[in-house]
Amino acid sequence: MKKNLIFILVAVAFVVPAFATGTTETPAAQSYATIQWSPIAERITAETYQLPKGAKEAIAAEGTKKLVIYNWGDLSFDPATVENGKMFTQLTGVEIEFVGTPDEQMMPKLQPLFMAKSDAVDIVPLDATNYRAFTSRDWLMQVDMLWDEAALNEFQTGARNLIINGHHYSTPQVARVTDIMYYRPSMLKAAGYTNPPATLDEFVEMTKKLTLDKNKDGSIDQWGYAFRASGVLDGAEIVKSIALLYGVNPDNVNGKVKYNAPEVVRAVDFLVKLRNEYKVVPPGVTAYQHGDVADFFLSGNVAIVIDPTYLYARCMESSIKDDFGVALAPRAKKDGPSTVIQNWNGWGISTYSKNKAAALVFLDMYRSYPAQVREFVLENNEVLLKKAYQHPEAKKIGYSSVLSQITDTVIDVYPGQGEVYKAVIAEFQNALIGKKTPQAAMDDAQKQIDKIMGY
Amino acid sequence: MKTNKKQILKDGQFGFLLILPSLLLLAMIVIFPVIHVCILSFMNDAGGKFVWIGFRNYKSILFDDPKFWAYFLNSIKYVVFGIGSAFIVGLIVALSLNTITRFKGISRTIALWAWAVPPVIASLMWKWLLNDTNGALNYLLMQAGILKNPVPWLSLPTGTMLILSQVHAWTSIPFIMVILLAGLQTIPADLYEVASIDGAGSLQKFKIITFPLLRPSILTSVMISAIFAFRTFDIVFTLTGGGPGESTEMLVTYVYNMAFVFVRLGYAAALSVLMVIISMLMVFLFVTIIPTKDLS
Repeated sequence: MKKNLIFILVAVAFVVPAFATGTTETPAAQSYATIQWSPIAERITAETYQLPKGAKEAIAAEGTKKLVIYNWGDLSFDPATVENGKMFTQLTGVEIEFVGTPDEQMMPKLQPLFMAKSDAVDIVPLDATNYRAFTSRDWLMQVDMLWDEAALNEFQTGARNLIINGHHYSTPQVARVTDIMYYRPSMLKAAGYTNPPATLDEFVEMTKKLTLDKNKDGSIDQWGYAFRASGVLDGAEIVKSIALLYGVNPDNVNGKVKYNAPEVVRAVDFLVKLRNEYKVVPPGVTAYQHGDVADFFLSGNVAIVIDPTYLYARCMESSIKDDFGVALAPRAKKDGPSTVIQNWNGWGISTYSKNKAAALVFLDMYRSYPAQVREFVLENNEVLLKKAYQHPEAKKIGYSSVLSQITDTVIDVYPGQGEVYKAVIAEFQNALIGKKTPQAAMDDAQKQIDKIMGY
Repeated sequence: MKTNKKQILKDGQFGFLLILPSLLLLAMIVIFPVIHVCILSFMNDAGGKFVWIGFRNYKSILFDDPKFWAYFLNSIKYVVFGIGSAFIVGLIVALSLNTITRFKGISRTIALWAWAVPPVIASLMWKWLLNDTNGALNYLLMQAGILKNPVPWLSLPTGTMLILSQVHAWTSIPFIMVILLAGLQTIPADLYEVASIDGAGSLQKFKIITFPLLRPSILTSVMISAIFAFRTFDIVFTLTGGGPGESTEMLVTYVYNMAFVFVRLGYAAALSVLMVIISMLMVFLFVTIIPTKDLS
């Protein structure tokens, strides 16, 4: 009896999964090779999106009726994604099932699917943290056929940073500019200012006057500024954004990741002083994550924040819609750099998808002019396709003028980035709570980075 | 009928056939993943390909990874402070609910409501209660004159772990209370009456009757709660993300980061296996320090 039971358990443990996993690509599934993508740039920048020649035939040969696409968060927040999905269905007849997934659950859900070589997902959403991880494990299909030099020129320079060893594995969905400053004109006016700060010195002076204990009960009712020092990316990006203003990109100092460069230490020192010396930010910033700062701004507790552009749409739908302004983040010096980080989101195709022709067409469609305009106009998401900003509706977006002032952006995607950022955030927090000096904290972060990056 | 079946299927084979579907399902969703994680723990996937490396992951974790020991210590602090507090409060509440006669039903319902709150919701609720700017806790303490200035509870150089453990205690009290209350109700009232006749006070009754007879319930509630606390993820992830610095980073968040942020699956699998071994050791420890065999 015991022997039988053990035999059955072992059989189930090893035999069943062997049948359940593993997909082989049939000849029909390679039908995407017959699609003629050129001329790519002309097609994707046309007023209406044009399917590439042979797309419908390839999809028909593949027998695709539906694509399963994972999406960051619930679709109720993504009207542009829904509209773009409808456009794709109208053009190809292929239905789309979007699977709305909370950000923190994306990796735990996708990773097992990939490891099981499952074809249950066709297209996955990408960001800096999962893109390199997926490509290094061959979980994403190469999409070189969707790109050529002319097509790349239609996109902002950051798009080139997504090429890995000469190959493409994605097309852009959106690119959110991190560093746009939001301010409350009424609060600035009450403190004697008519314009937002243009330099970091002005910024410090202004935030000091904007930090108020209105009812004199010992508790600050209005903070001058607030930033995010926790989260998966946030804490590292705030350090990086200030370092960029000082002229250094810590993710790329002569090709190396260097977070103890003098400019980076200066950036950390600046942020530490805001909390501990000038006391113009809430002391709890070390625990603030994605969205916390925006909530404070909307609730009237903070006069100035520097946050992604999606906050603009939230402001427009809130009680402060008539009392907020946007401007370029202050520079270190008036003539200093105004480089900003772009948080990139893209689409990639699962290696194990059986619907590659349809999936490739979806990726091609999503980076096209009409789809990218929708992302910007309906959701106020930045996009990488430059032409999208020329659309009349796009010009009406309140912060378009701010975007036009941005001349330099960076997108950094490299292996080990998640681990590097985790180390930087922990040490940055140590500096914020006074456990270490900015120099010591960043030196300790760099020791971990050297190990992670194999320097 | 029964005799016929015995003739066809010997030695309980009929029963085995009945549970076979469940066993197959269990094998697929529990046993296979467990075996798979164990196999993964002997592999390295740093270059994107899985390579068999024997016990090297375990050796690295135990002998070359100071973070493992630091986070292990944090996890233990979290369990000890969190479950310690929850046990004390849970015991007091259980004793009170066992004694009161009026509003018994509604009192028990109120005492249980924290259990009904999903962990993520509870974490978010506490995040705002503990907020340094708008938080209700600071407001109440300042109104009561206990605090002069608001405290950034989740950004303290030391003590944030204690705060997190107390949030966990809040979520664990109802479970501990229910088990202890059930245990209290099995103690015969005669014993207390006899003790009263012998002149025993409340404390003596608790010491010689309640506590010894409650030992099985204490063991069950504390042991299960401690294991739950050891693997709790929501509270630390939502409230502090492991910060400030690494002061609230725990083994469970280390596993999450290794697996889903750094994508080092072999190393994460080895950490998971070690966490299971530690949980088993915890069970052994509890059974050893809280004996239940000499109750008679």
